[in-house]
Amino acid sequence: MTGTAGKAPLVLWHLWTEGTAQLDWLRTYVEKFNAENPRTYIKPVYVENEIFKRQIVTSMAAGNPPDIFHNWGGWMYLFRFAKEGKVVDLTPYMNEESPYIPGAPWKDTFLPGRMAQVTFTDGKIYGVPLMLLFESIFFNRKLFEEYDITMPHNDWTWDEFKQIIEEIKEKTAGKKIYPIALGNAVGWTGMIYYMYFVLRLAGADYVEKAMWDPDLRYDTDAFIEAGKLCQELVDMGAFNPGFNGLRDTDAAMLFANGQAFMEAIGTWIYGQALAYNKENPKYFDVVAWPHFPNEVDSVNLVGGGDAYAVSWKCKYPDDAVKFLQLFVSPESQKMLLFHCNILPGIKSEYLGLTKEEEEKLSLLAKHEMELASKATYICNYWDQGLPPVITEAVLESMIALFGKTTTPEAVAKKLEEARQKWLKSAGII
Amino acid sequence: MVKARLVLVYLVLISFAIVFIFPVYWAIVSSLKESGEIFTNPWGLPSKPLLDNYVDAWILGGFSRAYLNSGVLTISTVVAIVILSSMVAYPLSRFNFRGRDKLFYFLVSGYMIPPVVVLIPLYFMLKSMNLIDSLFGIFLAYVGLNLPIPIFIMRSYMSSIPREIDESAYIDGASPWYIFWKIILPLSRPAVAAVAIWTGLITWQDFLYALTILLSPENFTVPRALLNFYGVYGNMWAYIAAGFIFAILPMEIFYLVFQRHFVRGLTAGAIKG
Amino acid sequence: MKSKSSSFFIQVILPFITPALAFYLLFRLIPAFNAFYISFFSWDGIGPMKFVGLRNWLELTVDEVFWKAFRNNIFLIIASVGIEIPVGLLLAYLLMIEPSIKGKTFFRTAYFNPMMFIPAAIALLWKLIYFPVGGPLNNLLSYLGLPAIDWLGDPSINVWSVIFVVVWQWTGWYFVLSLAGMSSIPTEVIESAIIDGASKFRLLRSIIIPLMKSNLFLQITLAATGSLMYFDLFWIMVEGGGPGHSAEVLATWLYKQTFMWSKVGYSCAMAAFLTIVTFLVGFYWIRQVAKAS
Repeated sequence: MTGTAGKAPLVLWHLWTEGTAQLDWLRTYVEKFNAENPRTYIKPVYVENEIFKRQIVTSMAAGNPPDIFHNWGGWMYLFRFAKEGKVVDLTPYMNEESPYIPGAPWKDTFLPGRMAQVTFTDGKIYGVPLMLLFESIFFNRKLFEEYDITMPHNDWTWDEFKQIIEEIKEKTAGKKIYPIALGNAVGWTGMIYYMYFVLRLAGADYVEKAMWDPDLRYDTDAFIEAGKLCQELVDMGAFNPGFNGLRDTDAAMLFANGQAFMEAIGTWIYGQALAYNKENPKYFDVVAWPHFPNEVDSVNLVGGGDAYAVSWKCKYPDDAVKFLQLFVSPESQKMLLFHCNILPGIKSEYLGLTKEEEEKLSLLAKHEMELASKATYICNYWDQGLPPVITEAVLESMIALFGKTTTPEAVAKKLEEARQKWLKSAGII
Repeated sequence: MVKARLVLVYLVLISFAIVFIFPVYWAIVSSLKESGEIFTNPWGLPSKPLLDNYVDAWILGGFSRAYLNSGVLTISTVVAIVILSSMVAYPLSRFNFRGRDKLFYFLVSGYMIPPVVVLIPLYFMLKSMNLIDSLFGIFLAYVGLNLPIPIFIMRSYMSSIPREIDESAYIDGASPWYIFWKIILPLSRPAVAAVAIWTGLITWQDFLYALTILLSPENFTVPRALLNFYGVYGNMWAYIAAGFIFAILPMEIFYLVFQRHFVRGLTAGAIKG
Repeated sequence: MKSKSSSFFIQVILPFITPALAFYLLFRLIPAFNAFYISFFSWDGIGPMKFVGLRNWLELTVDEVFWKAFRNNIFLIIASVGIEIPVGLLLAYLLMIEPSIKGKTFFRTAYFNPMMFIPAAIALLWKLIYFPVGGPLNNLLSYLGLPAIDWLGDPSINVWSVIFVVVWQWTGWYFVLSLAGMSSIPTEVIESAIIDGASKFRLLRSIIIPLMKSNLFLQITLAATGSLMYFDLFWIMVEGGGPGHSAEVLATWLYKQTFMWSKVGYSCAMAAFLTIVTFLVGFYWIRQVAKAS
């Protein structure tokens, strides 16, 4: 790698696999930074997603964490370290202007929903949001057209959704093509369904407050109903066989290879699918989560996004911040948008898209941005944003729920028990 | 009648052989296919053998580094264990001292402590010594872990070497250390081979300790690299198949060359004595 | 040699013993004792340890996943002792008893092969073989007109899918052990029995097996204790343990307590329990060792 001779390395742990557009993006800006920076260079190191979740914890505890590390904001992989003083407080940098976006403090250039996810309850900012990711239902336009299935649309209802699944099953009988791709061996992919059902039925406000408020509960009807809906999908045969034993990467492979019509997954799917199949991702599109007649919330999203933070072991935090400022500069965010089809984490007014660039936006990106602009709240993933005791209960329950080894009532009860434990340990009750 | 029985015997032997070998055949065949073809044509021969898969898999999986790490680690562990276990077995087999049998019993019964049990506190111990994510740290763990059976094997064998040999050497003025190094140890070659093979195989294959103690890719051993490989190229299944071949090749070759010693070595502890 | 004075002991014997003893104590025994000690505390691995007495142990009794995992280990023991050992014995016997069989070396290599493979590699390969959509096994099933099976995801069978692979890998080991045991039986015994008209089956049952008693006991002990400690394949092939932890084993569950949920004290209680059970199972063999020395 050019530009590394005689300089001190800043180790950066990332989760992007070979062939993904995100990795291209990272490498472009790492090279830029390394070429121009006299004192240090960024050394990206790949860590597998699930292994990273454990490794960051153990390396933080062992005292040899990377200088810059990936995280998703929220408690599990950012705030719990910040609380122990192991993450550099970025507030001073954030209050100043970024050299790439003059005219406003750096922190104001980010989408507020994202900023909230990297700001701890002590008011300090510990992470730099890289992008906006959210989850919803993605579908393959070409497959829908080929098999002449009713197209999904943003106002579709739960019943319409189910009808489409039945239609697909009918028209693909005997073939190895399935309505929805799912790989729930670890639990967080099933969690997307559950979270959205709860979000729709209980409302964003409730979900947010319930984590802290002793008067609210997790074992209400909305939560039980959410579990029932998940199992309804399983019983309908909406998913590819073997989903209990497959990983999210396996489901992505099926979706990318045109073996599934839809997948409830995050906006990163475009970049991820490209590694498996160069053709199909072109036809990906996104749609809002199906609506319910008794829903409390219609527009909000489950999401968050990758962020980078600087560990206390970094010897050159200023340089690390300089890299991060470069990495979220408008030019870089544009590459994120056009090359990776991922939404920027900075506000669109700072993005500065020209008219031609606006026209170049893919259909997928346009629809994503539409959904994002309508959302007033972004609910952080439960396996990132919540404390470990609740996370453990959530993931385990999701595996059991979709594997039909438990009931929706038992799941709701388990979540509430975990929440009680958390409230007790946090001294709230 | 005899012929029919012979046919039956062959049938049984061959059926089992197929069961044990087919995955290897399948891995070789799959590794030469394009990833998609593995699913469309799982059992047949590749339509167009892709040797490139091997090259790509090797580079992308970082196997060069992993092999180096595994090799160095295994060899050093084997050497350390051979030396330490034979050193302990020497007095245990040739001198009478109080508590000798208790000591032997003590050392060998450690085999019954599950490695995962040792790992939990050991991890925190290594952490406090700053040896996590270091090959030296895992080396220490491997040596401590793998002593019981080698001690058993060495002592069993050394017990069968007649004491007169020691005594005549002693009369000639040799020190116990000399007797050990120059006489007893060379005479124990079969046991040394057994210990080397046993320890080598276990160390080479270890996954649990590598998973826990080694964190950075440049420190990975082959088993650990394979897991990383799956994460990165999880769905480039042809690469996974190629990775499998890489993983088994060294031991296969080693086995084919040292076959007789292998069998003898691994069963040395089992044969009464 | 006769007993020597204590200075002999210190000058001569101790140096031979000390290095191995030091490693053994430091890196195997003391951590094991530590595990017992920590089991009485609540600890997250980072902060201070809090004494909680028997609470972790009591929690074990009500932890349904713990019992499920234990049950899975017992399944593994049954499969190991019930399949690996008999099949190994049978194959070894067939190879030994029929001198006219060609390709003995080939068969020996074939059966022993899986033992040499790195378990991590085996796990990945079999994950591929078990792949639910288009993998070779399900492909074969659909070719035969049968419905696909969710080998690793279906909670009612996934533990057996993994157990099968474990059995597949380890049978060769017991095969080799039986071969060795049989080869130490003097050929005269076998030949005279054949002359006396014993059928091959009778020979096996009444002569060979009794003569191999200690060898077989060792095999059973190894199989049982190995099954209790087993980790690798379950961890890699069924991450997350399967729906309802249907394919969890003691080693994986205890590992997760420390490295995923930071419940080190609880983890150690489980570890201590596992050690006690393993010792109980292996006790007989250890006594044999003590007697032999």
